Amino acid sequence: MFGLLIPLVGIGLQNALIVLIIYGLLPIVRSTYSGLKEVPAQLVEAAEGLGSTPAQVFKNIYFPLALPSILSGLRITVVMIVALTGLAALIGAGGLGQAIFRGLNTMNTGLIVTGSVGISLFAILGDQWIGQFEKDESLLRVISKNASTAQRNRIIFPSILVLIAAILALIFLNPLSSKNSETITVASKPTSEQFILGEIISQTIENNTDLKVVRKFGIGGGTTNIHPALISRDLDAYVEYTGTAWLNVLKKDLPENNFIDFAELNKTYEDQFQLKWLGLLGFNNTYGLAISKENANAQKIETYSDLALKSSQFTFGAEFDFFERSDAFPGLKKLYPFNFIKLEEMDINLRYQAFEQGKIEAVDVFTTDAQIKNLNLKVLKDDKNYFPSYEAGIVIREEILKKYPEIELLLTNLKGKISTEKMQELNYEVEIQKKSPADVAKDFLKNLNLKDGK
Amino acid sequence: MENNIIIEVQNINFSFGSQKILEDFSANFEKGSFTCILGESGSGKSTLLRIINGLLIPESGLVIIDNDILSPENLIQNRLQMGYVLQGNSLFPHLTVYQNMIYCLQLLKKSDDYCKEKIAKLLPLVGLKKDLLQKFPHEISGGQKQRVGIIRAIAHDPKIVLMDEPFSALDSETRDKLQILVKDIHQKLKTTFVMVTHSKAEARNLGTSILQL
Repeated sequence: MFGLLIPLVGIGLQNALIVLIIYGLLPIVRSTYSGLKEVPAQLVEAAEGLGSTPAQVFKNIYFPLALPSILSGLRITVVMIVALTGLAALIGAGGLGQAIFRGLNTMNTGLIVTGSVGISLFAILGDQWIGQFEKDESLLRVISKNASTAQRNRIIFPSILVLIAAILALIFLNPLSSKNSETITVASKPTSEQFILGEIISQTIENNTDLKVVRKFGIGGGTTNIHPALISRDLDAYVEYTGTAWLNVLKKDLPENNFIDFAELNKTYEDQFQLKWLGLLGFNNTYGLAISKENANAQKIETYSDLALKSSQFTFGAEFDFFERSDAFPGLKKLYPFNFIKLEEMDINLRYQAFEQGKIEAVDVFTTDAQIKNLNLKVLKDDKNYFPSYEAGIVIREEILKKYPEIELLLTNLKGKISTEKMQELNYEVEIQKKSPADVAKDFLKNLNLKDGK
Repeated sequence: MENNIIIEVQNINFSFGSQKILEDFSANFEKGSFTCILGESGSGKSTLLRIINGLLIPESGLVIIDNDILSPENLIQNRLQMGYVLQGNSLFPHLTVYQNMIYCLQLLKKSDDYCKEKIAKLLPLVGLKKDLLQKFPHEISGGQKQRVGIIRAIAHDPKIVLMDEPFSALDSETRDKLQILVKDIHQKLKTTFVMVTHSKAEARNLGTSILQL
C-alpha cells in the first residue's frame, strides 16, 4: 500500500499520512456501522414517537448508543496505526521505525530494541488513552451530560496531554511545509553499506557548504522506490550500482562480455532522467565465491577456475535464490565445471554462520560483505567474467548541480576513494564492531582529508 | 359534536407485504376519553397506534389530529403533542431517570427550572421517590421503569397519550398497581388516552370506551 502510493504522492511524510488515514478509516467505519446497526429498534421508535427530528434521533440515541462500539474500533485503530507508522520509515517518512529498520539492516540489536520499545510505548499509551474513554463509559457519560467528576477528569486530562503532544508534533514535523529550497535530500537503500555511503555524501556536503542535508535513509524496495523519487524531485542524490542501473532502471540486457559501459550508462541517465553519475567510488559490490584464506593458500586457489578443479573437496552453501536464479548458480555451472561434494541451500543470513561452524567450505558472498573480513575469507577471481559488475557511484539530479555547482566538485572528489577492501572494512566497523554509520563515515572522511592534505 | 373529536381515523388501508392488516378502517376518539384498543395479536391494534403517531404511513386514508391532517410536514409538531409509552423497557439506557423524564421537555426547549419543577410535581403522581432521579434505567425495577416511562410521556402536557401494551411485561401485582395509577392520572390530567391491550379485563377496567379490532 505504501508502495502503491509512491507514484501518486511520492515518498515521505505526506504519503505516509495518506496511507495511515486510509488504513485507519476501515476499522472505524466498520465498528461505527455495526454499532449503529445494533441500536435497539425499540429505542429508536421511542425517540421518534416522542417527537424527535431525525437529527435529534441520531444525536440523542444512535450516536451515544453506538459510541462503545465506535470506541472499541478506535482503540484497535490507534494501536494498529501506531504499529503501521513504524513501516512508514520504509518510504523515508522517518520515525521510530527508522531505528528498527536501520538496526535490522546494520545488525544493530540496540537500535532494533530502542525502536521497538518506543513504538510499543506509543501503542500502549494510545491504547490507554482510548481506554480511558471506554472505562466506566466515561465518554458516553460526558456526551450524555451525566458524568461524574471522576468520569469527566478521565476524559479531559489525558486528552489535553494528547492534544499538547499532537500540537508539538505538528509544529516539529510540519508535514505541509514545502521542502526548504536550501536543502539537499540524500537517500539510501536499506543496507549498512548504503547507510555509510549516504552519511559520507551527507557529511561531505555539510562539512564544506552551508546547505542543509535531509537524510532519507533505508528506503524500502531500494532502487524501485528511490529512482522514481529522484525523477519526481522528492530525493536528490544516492549511491547506485552500475549493474542495478543497467538491468533494473534501464532494463537493458547485459552485453556479451558482461561489461557495462559506464560512459553509455551515464549518457543514458543524463538524456532520459536528467540524472548524473559523479564518477565511480572505486568498489564493486557483486556476487562472489569465497573460501577460507588458509584453504586458498594451501591449495593455491585464486580463481573460479582453480576452485572448479578442486571443487570435489568442497561443500558449497548459498541462499535459495542463488541456486534458483538462472543468472546465478545454473549459469555459473555452465561456465565453470563445478563438482562440489554437496550443495547446501539456506537462508541468506545463515550462510556465514554455516561457514563459521564448518558446515560449508565454500560460500557465495557479496564482495563488500563485512563478514569477508570478519571470517578471513578469500574472494576468488571471476576469471571468465561471469558476474556483471555492480560498481558504486553517486547519482544526483542535474538541477541540483546547476543550483549548487560546488557540490559537483566536492562529491567528484570521492571518485575512486573507496576500494572493495575499504568498503568491506567500513561495513565491518558498522556490522561487527557496532559503530554507527555516521561515526564510521566521519572517521573515513577525516582520514581522507589527512591523506589529501599530504 | 365535531369539535369534541380529537383523533379521526378515516378509511385507512394498511398491509404488511401481501397481508392486509387494516382495510378501509375508520374510527373517532373523543377528547378526554380513555379508549382501549382491544384485539388478538395480529389484529392491527399496535399498527393503528403507530399510524396515529405517524410512525407508520397508511397506503390510503387520513389521520386527523385536532382538526389537523397528519402529513410529513406537521408530523414532528404533532408528535410533540402526544405522549408515547411503549411495551417493555424503552427508556434510554445512557440517560439518567431524570434525563429520561425530561426528554420531551428538552425537545421543546423548556428551561432547566421548569423541568425541575415539573418533575417534582409529577413524582408523587406515579409514586416515585426523588432519590431515583440520578440513577440509570438498569438500576431500577421493571415497574419503576414503566412509571418513569409514563412520566416521560406526560411531562410535556400532551393532548394525547398513546400507550402500547404498557403493562404486558410486568408481573400481575405490579400491573394491577400501575393500572390504578394510570386510571388516576387520566382522571387528574383529563387528557385523551389511547391504550392498546389484549386483555379484556384491563380494557373494561380502564377504558371509557373500547375499540374492538
